[in-house]
Amino acid sequence: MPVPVTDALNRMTDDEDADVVHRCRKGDAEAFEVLVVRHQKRMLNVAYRMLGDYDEACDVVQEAFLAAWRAIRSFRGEAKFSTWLYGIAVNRARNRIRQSQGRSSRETVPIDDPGGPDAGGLRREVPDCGESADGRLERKEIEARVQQCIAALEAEHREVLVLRDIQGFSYEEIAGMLDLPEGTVKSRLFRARAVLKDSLVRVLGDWP
Amino acid sequence: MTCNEMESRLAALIDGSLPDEETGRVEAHLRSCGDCRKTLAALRASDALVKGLEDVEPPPWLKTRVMARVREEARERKRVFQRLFYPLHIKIPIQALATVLIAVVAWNVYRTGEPDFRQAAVQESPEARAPAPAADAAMKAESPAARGKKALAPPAAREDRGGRTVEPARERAGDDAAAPGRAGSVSAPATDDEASKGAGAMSRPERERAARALAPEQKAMKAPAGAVPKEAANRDTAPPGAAPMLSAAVSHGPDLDIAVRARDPVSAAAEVEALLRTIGAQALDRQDREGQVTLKARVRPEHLETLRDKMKSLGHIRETVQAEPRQGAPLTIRMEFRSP
Repeated sequence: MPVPVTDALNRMTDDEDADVVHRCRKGDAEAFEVLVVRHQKRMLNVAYRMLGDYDEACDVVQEAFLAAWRAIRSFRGEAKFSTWLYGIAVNRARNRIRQSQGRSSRETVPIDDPGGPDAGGLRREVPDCGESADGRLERKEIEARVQQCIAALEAEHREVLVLRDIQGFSYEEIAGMLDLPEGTVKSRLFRARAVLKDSLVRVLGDWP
Repeated sequence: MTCNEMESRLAALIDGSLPDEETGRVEAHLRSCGDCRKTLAALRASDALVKGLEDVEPPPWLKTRVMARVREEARERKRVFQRLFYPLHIKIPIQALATVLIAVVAWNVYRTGEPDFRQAAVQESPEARAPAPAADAAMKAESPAARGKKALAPPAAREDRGGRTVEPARERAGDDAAAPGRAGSVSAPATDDEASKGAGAMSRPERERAARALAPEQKAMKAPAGAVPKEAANRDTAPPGAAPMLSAAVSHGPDLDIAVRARDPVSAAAEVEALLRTIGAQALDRQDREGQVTLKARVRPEHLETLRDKMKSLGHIRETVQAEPRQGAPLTIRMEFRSP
């Protein structure tokens, strides 16, 4: 048996969604609820960390689920269903980022790379946490700053960092979602980690 | 390895993504470089912070809204599906019925129109207007037996032809080329046509034709002497004789029309009338009009040749088959005697 066929069969048998997806493809709307329940939280968190806005993230997840339902007949099982589904969500979130960047570039000065020459931009928006972050900032506040630093990343860095370091997807899965070679995913991710680290050092002061 | 080259390798190192062959070199550099150790520590702290971010929970309405839309779209999809295929249950019979109805109407129109079309075509053809003198001349050249066979093909033979009678009709048409039986053969195809339709219940066109077949005959009976060309024209344009099955019903219409051109039509008619009485002709009828005599009688088929010979001895004759009776049944013959 040819290797690609075997791989496809393995993916099919590994895919926990396969049965439910099969029912959905036959038009069983109720089966789709299983997929919504199973994936909504992780999808929402991917979208939320990419967009930094809860309501927008909810919108993106809704759109992604509906798009998946409409296109589920075209899902042929070449990849895991979740890879396909999260790919839709990431794509939608990326489009939102582009739209909001388009708006902000017309309205306000964009937030540049915190590691770049205009690194003070982020400091202007985030209150200076001083030299002792652990002691004085509440956990929520730290999280908010981390989120801001993530939001300051370029979109292509942001999405790989969110998918790998926050949601823990494998490089193979991320490559499938973003339709990129694994090498590209890795190089983007390592760059994203370095930029985020620099940004956090600036935002959190004497850290770590 | 420089510190600039280290950064991406350190970013790979924190999740074990660095290839083994590089890990040793990176660790060697780290042992000798405090800045890179600091960078690695910051990367690990950053990674810890990111991984420590709390997940947000989806709002309860998210699933509800998504599923409401999904169900709605599934219903729409079904409705579209039904619109495409459900009407089949209702429309197919209606469409089938309409198709059958159209087919039946078309068949009726075809059947009603076909004989008329053929008749029209026959009337248009130059053969149908073949000059009578030439036909007469040819008639003379033929033996009486052959003429009889052509003028009145045995009905049984016709019935044997079954549904399609085109072939024999053509044969006879070939035989009759420039023959006196032209008028008869002209009407024959139409007669064959009717026979080929089967001996079922009489259709409306047949009934109409039967009725029309009577009209010229009655007209001819009343026609004044010297009106023969006109009558002949009428006969040409009149519908062909009814089918054999009709000849019994239209018993007063002639099966055979014989025009006799004699120098003395009245005495010739008297001689024929005498012969008719001799051979036991029935329903004998005589009409005299301005020197033209019309005799009408029912004659046994076996006496036909005798009668024909008699008339031939009296002058030129021209026969027109109007209808073909059943084999062995008496023939109704109308004879017109007039001056040449």
